[in-house]
Amino acid sequence: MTGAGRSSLMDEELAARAQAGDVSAFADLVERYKHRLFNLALRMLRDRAEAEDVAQEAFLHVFRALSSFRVEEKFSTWVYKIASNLCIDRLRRVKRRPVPLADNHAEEGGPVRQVPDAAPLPADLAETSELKRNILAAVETLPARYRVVVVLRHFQDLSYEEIAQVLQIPIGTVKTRLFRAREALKHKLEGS
Amino acid sequence: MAKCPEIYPLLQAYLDATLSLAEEEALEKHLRACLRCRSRLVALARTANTLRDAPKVHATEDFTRRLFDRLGVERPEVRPSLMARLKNMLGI
Repeated sequence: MTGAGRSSLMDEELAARAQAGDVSAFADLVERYKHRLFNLALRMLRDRAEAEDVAQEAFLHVFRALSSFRVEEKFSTWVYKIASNLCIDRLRRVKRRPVPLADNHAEEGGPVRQVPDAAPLPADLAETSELKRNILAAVETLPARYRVVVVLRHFQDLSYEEIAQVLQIPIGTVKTRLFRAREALKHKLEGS
Repeated sequence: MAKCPEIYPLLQAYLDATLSLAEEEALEKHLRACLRCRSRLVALARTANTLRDAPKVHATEDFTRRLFDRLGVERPEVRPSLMARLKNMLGI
């Protein structure tokens, strides 16, 4: 089937073909998801090189675990689940390093950014208003379990239900975290 | 009429359009009468809109090539999308 023909297929149909060994179908899924996964990882990890590495790792994992994908599941949920877990694992490892993440200090009005690679990204700087820059910086200061919910909801446009499935937490918890995170962001922006 | 603390949690759900019709009506009734909750809603909406409009960044050009290198699988021939070919033709 040509690339143009495959473009009308659903993710799950492509995944089924990839499961059967069709590498082109897998490549199509990579094209559909690479920017989304990179964005997710970048907003979670702040560092481009690391974000790209995690996005690649997510696809490596997807490729190797294709046989365990159940076609009745939503492919996007499965991919986001893998990528979010990788981001959170990586953040845990970063936390054990001596450089502190800014979470607690920032909550108390301390310096917003303490990690060298947390500087705004060039693309953000070039095209973003100050409010947008501030809000991106504020998102970066949220604890990981709150940040991931904000990123999935607002940067990836997932519904409460999808987020609950991706993170394997109850919908009520998704709402609580999202509401608290947005409340915290609002405070940070109003205070600035 | 509902009191402000009862309204706070509803404002967020209102933003996400996940309230029931009855809840929405109760909320809107409160909002018409309460300036504080209205400002609060506006501030929350501004936060949510700014998040939604944050710039999307793109993975690097050679993302897919590097991925297939790591996979140790030959990358299938990719025919560029119609849009990509058009853009290429028009030089944009």
